Amino acid sequence: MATGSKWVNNGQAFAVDQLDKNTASGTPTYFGAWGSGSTTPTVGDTALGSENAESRTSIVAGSMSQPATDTVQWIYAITATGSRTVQETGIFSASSAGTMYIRIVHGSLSLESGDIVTYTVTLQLKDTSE
Amino acid sequence: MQMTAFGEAEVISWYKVEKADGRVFYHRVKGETDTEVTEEEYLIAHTK
Repeated sequence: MATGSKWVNNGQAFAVDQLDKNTASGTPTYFGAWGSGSTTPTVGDTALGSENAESRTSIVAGSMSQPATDTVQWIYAITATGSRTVQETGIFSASSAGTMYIRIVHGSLSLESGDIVTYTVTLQLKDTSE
Repeated sequence: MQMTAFGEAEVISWYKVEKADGRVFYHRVKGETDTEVTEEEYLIAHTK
């Protein structure tokens, strides 16, 4: 099973913007998506392997937090609108297309309409001087 | 904050599956490992 997580291209600037709003231009927006792709995440990924039909979930301000100085966290839930195989999730800059910041591949889920998956994604930066 | 001070990052994710029939499962993905966890472990991680 090719599980794993990657902070993908542009993710560093994205993460730094979360921890120091002075570096951000404008107000960033975040959307959570899921899909059925199972390929191992790589830094060069720009999209999910196979995004499912459900609309991306807008991650509102209250569902984003900074639990530690070097850590950012996003929480979002997606509800299946039909029978779905779900094996990946990602955080994007827009409700369609946009920039993908993080991609995570997890164990395969066989979902039916009405099933809900709530994701909590934590990104912890590591100081290279440590 | 110096942007150059950070060269690595770790992504840790948790997910809760709520089946329409009432069953609930909890998982953690860290590195390349997806582990089913207990509700208690999940809740502890979310109250830190």
